[in-house]
Amino acid sequence: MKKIKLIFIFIVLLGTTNIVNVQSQVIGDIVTITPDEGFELEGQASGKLVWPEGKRQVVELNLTKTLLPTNISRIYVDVITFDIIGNIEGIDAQVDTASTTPEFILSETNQTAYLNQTLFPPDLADQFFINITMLVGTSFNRQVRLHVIRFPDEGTILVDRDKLVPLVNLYGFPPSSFFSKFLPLYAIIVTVLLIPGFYYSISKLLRSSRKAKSSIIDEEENNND
Amino acid sequence: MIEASIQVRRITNKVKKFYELFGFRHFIRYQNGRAIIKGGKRLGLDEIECVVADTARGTTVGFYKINTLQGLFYSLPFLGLILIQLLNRVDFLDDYISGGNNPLSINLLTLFTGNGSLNYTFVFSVLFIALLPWFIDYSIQTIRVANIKARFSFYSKSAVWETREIPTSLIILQSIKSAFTQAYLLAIFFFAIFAFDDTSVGEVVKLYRTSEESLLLATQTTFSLTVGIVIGLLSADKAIKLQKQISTYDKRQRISGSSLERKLEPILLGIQAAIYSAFVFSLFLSTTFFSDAPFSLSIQFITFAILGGIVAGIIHQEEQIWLTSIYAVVIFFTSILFIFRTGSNPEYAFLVILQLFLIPLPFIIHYSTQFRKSLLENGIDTFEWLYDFIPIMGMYSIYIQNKRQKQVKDAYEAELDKSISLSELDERGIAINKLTFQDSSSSAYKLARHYFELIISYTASFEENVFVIIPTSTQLYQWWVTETKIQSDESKIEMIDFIDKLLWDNDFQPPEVQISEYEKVAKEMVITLQ
Repeated sequence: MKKIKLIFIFIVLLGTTNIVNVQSQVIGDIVTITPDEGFELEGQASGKLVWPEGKRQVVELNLTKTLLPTNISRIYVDVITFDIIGNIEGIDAQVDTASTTPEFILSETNQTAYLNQTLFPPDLADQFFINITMLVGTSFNRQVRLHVIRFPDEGTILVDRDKLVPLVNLYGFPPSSFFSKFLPLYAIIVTVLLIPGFYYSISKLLRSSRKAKSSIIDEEENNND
Repeated sequence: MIEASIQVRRITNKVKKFYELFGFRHFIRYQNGRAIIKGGKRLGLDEIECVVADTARGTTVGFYKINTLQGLFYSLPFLGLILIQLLNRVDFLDDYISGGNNPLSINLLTLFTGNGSLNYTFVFSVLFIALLPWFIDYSIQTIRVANIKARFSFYSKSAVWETREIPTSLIILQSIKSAFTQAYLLAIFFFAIFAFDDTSVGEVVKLYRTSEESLLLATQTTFSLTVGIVIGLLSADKAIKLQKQISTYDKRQRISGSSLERKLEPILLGIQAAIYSAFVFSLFLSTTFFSDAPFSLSIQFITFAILGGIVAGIIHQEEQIWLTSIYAVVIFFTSILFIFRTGSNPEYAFLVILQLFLIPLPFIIHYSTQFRKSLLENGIDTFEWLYDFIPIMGMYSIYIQNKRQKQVKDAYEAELDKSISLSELDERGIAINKLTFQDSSSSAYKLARHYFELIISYTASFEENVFVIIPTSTQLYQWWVTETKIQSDESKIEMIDFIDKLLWDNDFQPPEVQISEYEKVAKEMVITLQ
């Protein structure tokens, strides 16, 4: 009985770790786009919620036309842009973008278009989300409009950074713009620091030259005598 | 000099010896029968004046403190910080000061005052630090004058009264001056980047993949460690040297006891000096370069200063080069320490390289410490100037010494022009009949004047109740060497023999050239005596 209990506990723990493990693909909610023209377009993005640093990830986008009014025969999706919005020091800022021109044409009901976009996690932000922006037009009105789908719907994607940090990383010398100002300042201060030493050296030189001169004059006087 | 009475000369001599006993350099001037003996221990102008004069009541001696405001000179650089803030508020100057429109293209306001803004706290802290040296000098001067007055009244009665020279706390406060200026210089170097334009800062921040705030915090952390040790080291070293110098005149300041006590006392004094100087400097830092730093960094600064004080207490008996080397080693090893933080905090990489540029600084300052030899050659023995790098007061002191020597020479030569008749000596029973001495403009006459000046000074060096006879040539010469501490010179003893023969041997008729030559030697002896 005890052994069975232990095995059961072990399985539950294993299952729990699996639940906690968020490396699996997450499918976002279906976002229904219903512009004034009367058509309906459903968009759904999916991807992982933890991206390892430096490794490429694929974000999938499905677009399904669910309703098409009689005056519209086709829906055009010309440009799809994936904007990575990272959280840097508490502020959301665009850190990367990737756009594609799939030129989807959806003409039949429930027709689905698929798009896989390869992206890399950002360097500067540890948490981010993706705004998928689509430019959509119709055969009735060719003028495109902007529609945005957020992935994930709530929360952010985490970047799993490599925990191994180098012990020493000197990044090289400061740039020349720093030295162009620092070195003159350094030279001025060093000159000021050397003034007392120069004073002593110069006064010593003057004294020894005066002594040399007076000893030469004395010698000459002695010779004349 | 001629007009001063024997009694005035006698007491002047006592005051002179008294000054020498306690390490004061002195300058004697005779004026209208009075003697004014100025004494000084610090750089610049003298701090004590003694006036010896004949009055109806007898010979009076008075001691006065003078030049009490001289200490304000040390305050000027710090008052300059307030001035630069005020000038920055003037329309046409702000572009030059904080706008970077100067030859170095640096924000001078940020360079000299960090992030300090002109508010009450800043003004208060700067005024406190500016007035502190003046207050210390004034206190020391007051104590010295009071001590000298008390001592002299007993000294002249051949009694010994050992008052305490200067309290240890004032010695320590006096030691913080040069450490302060060194730390401020290093602060300018460390924080210089924040005074540069945005492009320079931006490029550094970008290269090291950090932010300006992180770089500032890293700079403050590095500064508190490196400069904390340096300020403790220098202030402790100076305090120990000052105490040693004072202990030569006040035996109670001497380090005594068992060998362990003799080793521990300098370390304890070093720690005290380090804490005082780090505390006062951190007051200044809190309103300037550390205005937005965490409080823990100020505590870290004081803690590392204590470490510097301990090191100075251990090596205090070694040569000056030891201190210089440790100064450089501290900068080097703190760089090594911060290298290991560069992995997780890349901004430290910039500071590691910056510190490498600061390693030559101690050796540059060491080269300049030989200015102390210039001071010693001019008779100025003070530790007031030790690691300071603007020797204005020192050069001014040397200038004053030379000027006074010239004044003494000119005053004496002016008196030589007065035709004082040698017949006065007849009244004292000294008859000089030789024709050689009748012409007051002749070299022989002047030579005789110098000789009698030496004799009178010799007489005045003895106590009143001591019977003095005319000295022999050797006695006079030995006395002169002792008084002036100048190394022996054969020409001087030859001169004394010569004049002795010239005065009393009627058949001795040397050539004018020889008389003139010895006259110069005699004049130099009299002037040097003063």
